[in-house]
Amino acid sequence: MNAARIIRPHRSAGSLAGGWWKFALPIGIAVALLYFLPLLINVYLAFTDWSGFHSGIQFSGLDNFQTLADQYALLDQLRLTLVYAITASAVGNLLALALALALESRSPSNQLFRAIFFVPVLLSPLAAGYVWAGILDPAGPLNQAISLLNPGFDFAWLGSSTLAIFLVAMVDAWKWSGFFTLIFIAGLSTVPTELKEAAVAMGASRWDVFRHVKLPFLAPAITYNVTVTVIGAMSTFDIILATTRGGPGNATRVLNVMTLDQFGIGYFGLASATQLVVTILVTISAIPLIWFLRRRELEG
Amino acid sequence: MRTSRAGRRARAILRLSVLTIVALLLVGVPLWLVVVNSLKTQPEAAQLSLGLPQTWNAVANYSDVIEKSRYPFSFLNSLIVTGASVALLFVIAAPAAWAFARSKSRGMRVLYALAIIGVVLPPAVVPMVFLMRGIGLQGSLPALILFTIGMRVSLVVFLLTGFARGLPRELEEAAYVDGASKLRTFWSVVLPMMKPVVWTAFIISTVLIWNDFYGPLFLLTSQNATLPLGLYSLSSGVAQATAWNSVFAHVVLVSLPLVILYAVVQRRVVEGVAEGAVKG
Repeated sequence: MNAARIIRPHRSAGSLAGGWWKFALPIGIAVALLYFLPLLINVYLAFTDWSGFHSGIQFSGLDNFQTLADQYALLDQLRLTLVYAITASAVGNLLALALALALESRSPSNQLFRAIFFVPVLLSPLAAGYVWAGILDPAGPLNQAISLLNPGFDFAWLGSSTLAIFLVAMVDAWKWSGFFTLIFIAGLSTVPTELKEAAVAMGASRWDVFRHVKLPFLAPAITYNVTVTVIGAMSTFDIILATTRGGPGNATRVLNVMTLDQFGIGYFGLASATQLVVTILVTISAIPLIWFLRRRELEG
Repeated sequence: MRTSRAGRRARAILRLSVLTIVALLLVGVPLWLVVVNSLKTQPEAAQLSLGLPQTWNAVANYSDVIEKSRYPFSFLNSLIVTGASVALLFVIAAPAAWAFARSKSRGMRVLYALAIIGVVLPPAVVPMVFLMRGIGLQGSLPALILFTIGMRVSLVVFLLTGFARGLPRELEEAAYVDGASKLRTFWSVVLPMMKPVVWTAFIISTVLIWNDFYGPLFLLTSQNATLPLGLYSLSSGVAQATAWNSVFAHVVLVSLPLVILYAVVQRRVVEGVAEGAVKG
């Protein structure tokens, strides 16, 4: 080291260009062992009879997937997962967009409201589930409010097999909307002030300003929020476990809840197969997002 | 002129009223329902009313839940898992983020692309159980910490790399030319500049890891429960409809640590998330 410094006391900045791999080695190992290895093992386990009932793990071909299709109505649960994801994303983003537009300027009152609407983000999804299980309970505040107009109203919201999936998805939307509001606000801050002022000076209505001035600048935030909510909701779990636990019947048994049920009764291979279906579903849906992130990186 | 000023005032008041009503309905009522019913007796809480308790039962409810859920123990477990995971995440991801931001080599670009796949594709938990059984860690806190690192490392490195790309190179090049090693340059020049994004990523990962329930449910035994797992074991064990007071007391106890943290650092959270979103 000293000798090197005597010969070459001032290094050129160019030599900073190499040897980066040492800094990335730990993350390389972590990602390989803790992320990709489990995903690969999962592909293997999905085709085995690994269970809690016998030792030894045998290759079992497509048996698990046959079981999923026959006994677990895989297509129905797949559809349910998608309905949940789309509802959670649509409701959450519309709510977040409305809040962002209302709280766009940085006045003290807006800062306070931004902080208030962020509180649900801090709750664990499980806790959020219990909160809404209480509100939607037949005896809960929602029915109490409706009873003011329609005395004796005691509808079991989460007991309705048609409504339950939409309601639990809305709890998901409620829990995350404060976070996505902040991202929309960040997007709105990229709209040049002169452009807004010019539009207003030319007599544009509030709707026109939103539609033709703000919306184009919100495009990246919208794409990001929509994709993240859709894909995040595909792995949903906690909220459903706290509210309906998959019921009534199978009306909210999304794929991850199914995984837990199969795992809980000892069908580990079957649970792996269900996880593989989630992985494939997310991968198919994620391709547009990765494409978008790459494009954004190139622009940046 | 006066009328338009009055009109503007009226509109501002209307806007604030609408926002207040929405905030009350979306945040106020749900939180109030939880807090007020956690202070009632079981039969009274079963009515799920928003009124004040007729009989205050706070001490009994909370001490009961703290004891039954072994709250101090789960709290400590949550603290260990969150603390260790977040610390390791940054040790792994921060130097890598700088390297990914500066390196022009093809291998590093491929590694970065692989490392951030996890932002959208969550890792599988069932094979993690398989692996942890294989090495004898299943059910223990280290198992959950390892799973958590695999699950969150991509998000942290993604946020940090996006920020590191925007850092000026002059300072780090000057330090390096002056003879500082690469590691030294990173530690004393680059890392201080990354403070804002480290803060953002710290908040986001802490909230996600503290609240995680999916990992603990599969990877921990109930003896090693973290707070959300404790909440679930207790609340799914009792008939919810008859024990709202303890369910809600538990919800309060589980959520309180993050809410307190948030109250302390509120401004930095809200601004940090927005910043992270713009730059990430």
